[in-house]
Amino acid sequence: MFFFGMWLGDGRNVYLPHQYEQSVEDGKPTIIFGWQPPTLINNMVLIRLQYAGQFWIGLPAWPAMWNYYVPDVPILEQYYESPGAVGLRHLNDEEREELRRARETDLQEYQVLWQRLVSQYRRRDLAKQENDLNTMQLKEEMGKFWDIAWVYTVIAGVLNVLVIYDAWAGPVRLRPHPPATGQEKKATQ
Amino acid sequence: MIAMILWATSIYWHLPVLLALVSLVYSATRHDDWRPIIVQAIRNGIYIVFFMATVFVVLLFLSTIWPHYFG
Repeated sequence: MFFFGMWLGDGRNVYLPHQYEQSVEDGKPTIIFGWQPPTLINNMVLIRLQYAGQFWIGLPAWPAMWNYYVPDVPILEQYYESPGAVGLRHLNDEEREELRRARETDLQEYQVLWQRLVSQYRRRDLAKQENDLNTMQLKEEMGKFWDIAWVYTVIAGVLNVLVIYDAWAGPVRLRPHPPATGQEKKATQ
Repeated sequence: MIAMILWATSIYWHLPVLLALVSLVYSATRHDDWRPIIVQAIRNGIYIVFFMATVFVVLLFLSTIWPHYFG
């Protein structure tokens, strides 16, 4: 079911973006009753809620989380690319050299430079990804199937929560069994 | 011909598939034997269909009947 949903969505619907970091840079952080949720919660629950459901399918969804945190060593990037994830490999030779020099001379300068480069690349990458997804959804053969596709993946993940519970604790019983009578007790012994 | 192609590629074909899968998996987490699983899956399927039909009627009312008579 999960893989069918991925196939239906051209393998582009399981991802976790670095969107919140850009919102903070733009001066628009999410504030809920004076509380600023952590970055991961923002990106997963408030920005890409689908992934919060997909996550529970297990291994087939976890490469997206890996690519979110480890952009330099991506796993199956073609299907689980994390938009806005920036690693050293995304920088060009000049930028890398600039970073190397800054690290050798001044660590503070290095951090400022790194943040600036990450910010630049992330902005470009998020815009590119949004454009790609919009273009894909405008294709005649995709259309509303894009939404059906992620619905499949999310339902598969959420149902897996029930399956995990079933494997751990057995069938869910909302009403407790009535106490066994004497004869039933003997039969089970 | 065009209508047939549209019907064949309609997103609504996914409804019975999703309905059956959700009902069966949910029911299988409540029971261990096949018979009660199937019975409850059918019951769940009927509940879901009724729930969706109710939502459909409400939306239909809000989008067509309400603006026509009260809008």
